[in-house]
Amino acid sequence: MGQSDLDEQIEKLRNCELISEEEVRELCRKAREILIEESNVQRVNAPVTVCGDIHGQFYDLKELFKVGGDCPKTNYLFLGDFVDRGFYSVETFLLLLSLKVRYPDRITLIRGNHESRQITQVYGFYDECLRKYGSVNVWRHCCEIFDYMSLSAIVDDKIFCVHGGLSPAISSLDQVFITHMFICLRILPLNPDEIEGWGLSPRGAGYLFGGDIVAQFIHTNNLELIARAHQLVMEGYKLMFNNTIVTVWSAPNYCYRCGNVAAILKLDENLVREYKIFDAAPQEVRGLPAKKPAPDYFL
Amino acid sequence: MTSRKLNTSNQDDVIRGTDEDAVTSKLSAVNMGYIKDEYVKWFVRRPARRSPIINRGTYVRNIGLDTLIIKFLEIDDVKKQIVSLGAGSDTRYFHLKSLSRKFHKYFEIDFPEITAKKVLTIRKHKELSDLIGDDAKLGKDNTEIYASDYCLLSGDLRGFVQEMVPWMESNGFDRSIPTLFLSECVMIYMDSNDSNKIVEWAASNLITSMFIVYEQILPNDVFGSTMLQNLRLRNIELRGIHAYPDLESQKERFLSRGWIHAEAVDINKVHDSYIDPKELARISRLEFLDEFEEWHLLAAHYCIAWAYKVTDESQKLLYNKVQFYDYKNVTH
Repeated sequence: MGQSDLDEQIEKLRNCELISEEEVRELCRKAREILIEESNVQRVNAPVTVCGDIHGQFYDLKELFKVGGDCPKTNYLFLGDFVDRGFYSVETFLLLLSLKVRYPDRITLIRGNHESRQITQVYGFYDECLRKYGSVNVWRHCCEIFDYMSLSAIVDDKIFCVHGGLSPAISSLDQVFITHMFICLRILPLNPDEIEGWGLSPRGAGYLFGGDIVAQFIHTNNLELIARAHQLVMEGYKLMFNNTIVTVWSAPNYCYRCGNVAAILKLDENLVREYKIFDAAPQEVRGLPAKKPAPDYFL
Repeated sequence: MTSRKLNTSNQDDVIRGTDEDAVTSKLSAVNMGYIKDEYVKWFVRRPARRSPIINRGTYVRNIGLDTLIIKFLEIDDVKKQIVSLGAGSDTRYFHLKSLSRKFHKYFEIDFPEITAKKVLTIRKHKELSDLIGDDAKLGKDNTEIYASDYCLLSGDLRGFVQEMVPWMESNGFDRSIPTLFLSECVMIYMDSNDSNKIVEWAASNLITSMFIVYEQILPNDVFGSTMLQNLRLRNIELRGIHAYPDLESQKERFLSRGWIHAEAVDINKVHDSYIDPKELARISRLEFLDEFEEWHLLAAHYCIAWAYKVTDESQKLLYNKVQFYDYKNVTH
């Protein structure tokens, strides 16, 4: 696969058109070669724009690029959850992955809890692959790539970026925490909460971590900020614990139902932060697929 | 009932379509193990698997309503009536009957297009017709069923007082028997002028009566306005939502119309406080639900409201028991 082929694919995917199963296979092979070299705490240089969950909302991802600038002009760090829920997980993930293959130093993709074989079978990506390709091969290729994705990134040694949050298994970035992080990412969402220490979510939704844990982690690792995604925030982003941790949410009108705005976090070369807020793509642009019913409610 | 008009406007067709949506969701929750119901499968044309958030919501709706309904049925020993407004393909009668619950009469009212389908399904499945009993008779071009404790009537709820009430009475409705009115996402589709007449009538013409409503609230925040917009894309108009947009006005709807006690809670409250933690643990194991923020938003936009009216003051104590058990305020 040459660069011009790749550019052609990117152009197709930018128009929300599918590429062939064979092209997906080749793309994933290339991506694997790149991702296998990345660390589980991938180092990233500023300036970079940090983005939260996308969840297959392809036309809203295009809005994101409008607000943040196109890749590779702008460097991007995506905090996972590219797939599931929205109508265009396939196009969304393949576009980001082909950008990764084309501009490996310009875009970093880390893994979210939806980048998993189990969860994609419940939340839509599996069904979407089957519907759009008539087989689950594309889903298989993508799932294999999920396994190669980094679990976290660190921008200029100062801003630690992860999909969900901290896990009881890690206190320092030097530790080998792959297994634990992996399990936590897959099964248990990690959410900051107004508690002390670690807690189990009362609703069985995973771990909670408190401000003291964040403070300790920041101190131990000499950080300025933890950036994470994973939780819907109606205002697009939310700072907690004296601005030491921020949730960035990049899926506007999440699930075409929640009415929220989205945000991205722009870090300049001096790590000065700027939050950019954006809305969902207008109805006429995103045109719901004819076959897919409108979002579910209780009727 | 000859004067009953068959309104076939587009809006009405769409509202009838919501029945299919609801029963499909219910089957999804049954198939995933959230709720038990042997009968709903026969009412679904195209089964579909719903997302975990919808399954959970269907579960809470169902268990919430069932809890109140069963408590109502258990008050002293008298047989009672239920009037299920816009019952659609609801299988609650069959489910309760299979649990040996007894009724004086269980009325279901819906558009004839819907009741005709229901009659067909019931006739097709012996398990259903057996529960209704041998003495069931059909009427009105096979859109109605009259049986000893079950009565399926076709009609338009906009003519409830003038047209449906006399017809119910000729089919065994008894104003002296404690009666429960159920509206599960039904009155929300009606102009409040029309639904108010039902609420008023039920308070002022019966000795003992109870009302349970499950419907949407909070139309004015971003989630709510997005909900109205999305439903409008499907041509569904929640005509009643602005008249009773929150829990307070849901209660007022009853208290200002002759009901002596009314309560309203949103689905978050039912989920977080009124469901046995063991049950919550069980359903959490059925499917992985990770997006609690979205769940909270969705659940905040649905409520269960209930009200009662008794003529005899001493009955108040009994009817106060039609209430949720608060697991949150209990130390185990």
